[in-house]
Amino acid sequence: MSRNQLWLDAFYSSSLNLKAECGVVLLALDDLAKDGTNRLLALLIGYEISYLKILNGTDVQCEISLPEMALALCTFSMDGSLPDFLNMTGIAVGASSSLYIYKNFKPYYKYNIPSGGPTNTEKPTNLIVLTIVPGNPNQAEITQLAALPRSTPDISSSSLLLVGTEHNSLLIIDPHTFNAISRIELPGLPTSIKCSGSYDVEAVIFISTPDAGVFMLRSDQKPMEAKPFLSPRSSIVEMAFNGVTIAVATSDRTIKYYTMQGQELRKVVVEDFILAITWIEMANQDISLLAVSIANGEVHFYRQGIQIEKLRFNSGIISMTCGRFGREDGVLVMVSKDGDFIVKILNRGYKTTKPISTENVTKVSASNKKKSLWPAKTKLFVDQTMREKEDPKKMYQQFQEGICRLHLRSLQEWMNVSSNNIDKADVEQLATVPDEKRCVHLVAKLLGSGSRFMLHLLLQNISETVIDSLTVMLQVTDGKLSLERSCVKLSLMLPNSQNWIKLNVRDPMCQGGQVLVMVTKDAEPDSAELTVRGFVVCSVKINISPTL
Amino acid sequence: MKFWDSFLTWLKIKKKEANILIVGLDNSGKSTVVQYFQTGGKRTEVTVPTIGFKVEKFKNAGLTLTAFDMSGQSKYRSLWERYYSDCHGVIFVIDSSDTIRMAVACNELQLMIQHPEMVKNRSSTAGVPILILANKIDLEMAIPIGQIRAELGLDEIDTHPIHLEASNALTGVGLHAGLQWLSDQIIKSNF
Repeated sequence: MSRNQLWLDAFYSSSLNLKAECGVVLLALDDLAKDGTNRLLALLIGYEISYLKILNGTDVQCEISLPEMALALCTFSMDGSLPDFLNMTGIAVGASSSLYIYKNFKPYYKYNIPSGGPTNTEKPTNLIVLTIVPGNPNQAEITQLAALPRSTPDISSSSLLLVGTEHNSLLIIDPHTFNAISRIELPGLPTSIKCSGSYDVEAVIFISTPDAGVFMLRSDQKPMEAKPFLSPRSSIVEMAFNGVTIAVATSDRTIKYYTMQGQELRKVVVEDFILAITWIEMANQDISLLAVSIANGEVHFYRQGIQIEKLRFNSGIISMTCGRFGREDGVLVMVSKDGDFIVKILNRGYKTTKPISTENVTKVSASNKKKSLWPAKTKLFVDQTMREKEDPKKMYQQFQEGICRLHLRSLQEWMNVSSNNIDKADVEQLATVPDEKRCVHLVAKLLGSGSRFMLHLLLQNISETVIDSLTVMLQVTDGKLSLERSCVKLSLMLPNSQNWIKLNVRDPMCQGGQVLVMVTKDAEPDSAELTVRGFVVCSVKINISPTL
Repeated sequence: MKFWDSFLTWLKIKKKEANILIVGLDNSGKSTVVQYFQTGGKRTEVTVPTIGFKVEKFKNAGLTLTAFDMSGQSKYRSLWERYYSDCHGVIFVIDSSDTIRMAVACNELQLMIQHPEMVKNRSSTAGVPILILANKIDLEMAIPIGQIRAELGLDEIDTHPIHLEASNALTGVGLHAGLQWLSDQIIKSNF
């Protein structure tokens, strides 16, 4: 007798070799041959060579190798003017600054994205000429790809390609003519693009950036402009959008649901790092679930923020997608860290029972019911709302400026208070502290998300005197990291100057680690002992979390 | 009433008629099976995916069968249960080469067997006879019949008379033997 389980175990294989060199696999499902059978695309990202595998059911139909590190994958409808059976589904892979287009499982076109182009304005497609300049250093790398239907949201309509680039911009490209229709500047690097609707009518595009949060673009507002949607405190891991609700997973093990108006609906906290999230939508069964994969190998399924099912695997699921696979709807395809290929199919006879646990769920809606928290419609409030509507960008800048001023004022007050209260002992202590310790300011910034990182160190001399003989030493204190350099000498730092040091850090095992950065002041060598003496000016520890 | 019907049938005044339901996942070959029974193996038209359901009639072993050829697409599977109450037998067609969806086929079979309409209001104590056709058995990647039996858990089903037959709807292998078993079961329990 069948149990009331949400998922049916359809297929499991560890022999399909879906393990990527970088540990990142991108998945997509689409009817590539227009034969009613959806195939699975798996992009295995490698440092030098990436592989695109196309699976028809349980068999690998073809494997395409890309001579670069590919970062983005999407499928799109090529030409809506053709009949449905001729309107082939194209595959777009973003690698470096090129878009590799595949049609009918064969290479079709290589398109180098334009370095310039129209900014913030929409221009007729004929006016923009492709700039195909191989090896142009100014060309930005593609970071993310998505397909947006052009006129109607059904599958027969031709699509536009949304290309996020390293130069903080979003390009809208017509894949029929390969013209850039529009170029929109973004406040940060686009790492995830989710969209719904159609471009000609009313498309909504959400773009997440690692530092600046999520931004929303609407195609019915011309010129299209990235408007701040939300800015979470922690960095965004992944974003999922089902056309109505947007779920944002952050690195603090939290998933928050938002409406398209930006109102927070509910919050879910999980017990480990989040690796991937995806929506599971089955309109005919009235099912809308959020699948969350976490680092301990579990995949949780939430219905309206309440956990209804939990699956456990040997290793963490790094990538998953849900949709039609083969001829079946409601198929959840997952790839684990070890390259295992897992297929689960939604049980048609599943009946919702009591939720497994509700302890981690925080209902934000309950707190929103307190009407007293909302500001009354005073004249000030109305005026402010009007000003917000007129020029939201200026309002946002003013608000940020105000906050900065407030921070500075409070810091100044604190400094005054602490300097008045300082006693003699402290003054004596301060006097013994060398100038360099007080005057050298170190900021460390780690860029990158994969096993290759870029470490930016900023050394500032905030004093009015010249500081000399500084050495920046880097040491791996934990993990198996390899550093480009372990020592940088700075012979002279002028007053009020700053020095940037940029280093490559590699984490081949993807296990993370710790780097200790120490800035030392070298004293004169003792002629008798022939040893170099010095003291540590400042130091910083950088923790690199494991990448999966 | 049953006695009167049986008497009329014995006198050959009333024909032996039965409704059979042909179900299974999409692309398993249900319409091809029906077409084979109707035409005796002559393929007259190209089979296209069924939308909703189709009603066809054919005869076997003195029994006039009205076949409800149901669509197997996931969005139409909820229609199957509406015809459970009036059917005298079921042909459940499985694509033997579809490895991934064997779990779905098994689940759909279980859902059907457990449905209350399949056991209640029956003249006999046993449930509706179910013929399972493991179709496309000629294909290279087809799962062996023994494995299909194990995956479907047929040995554990005791509520319905069940028979598994390997078949190929294009050549007719296994179809006649399967239909003969189903006809015998229908006659045994209804006439």
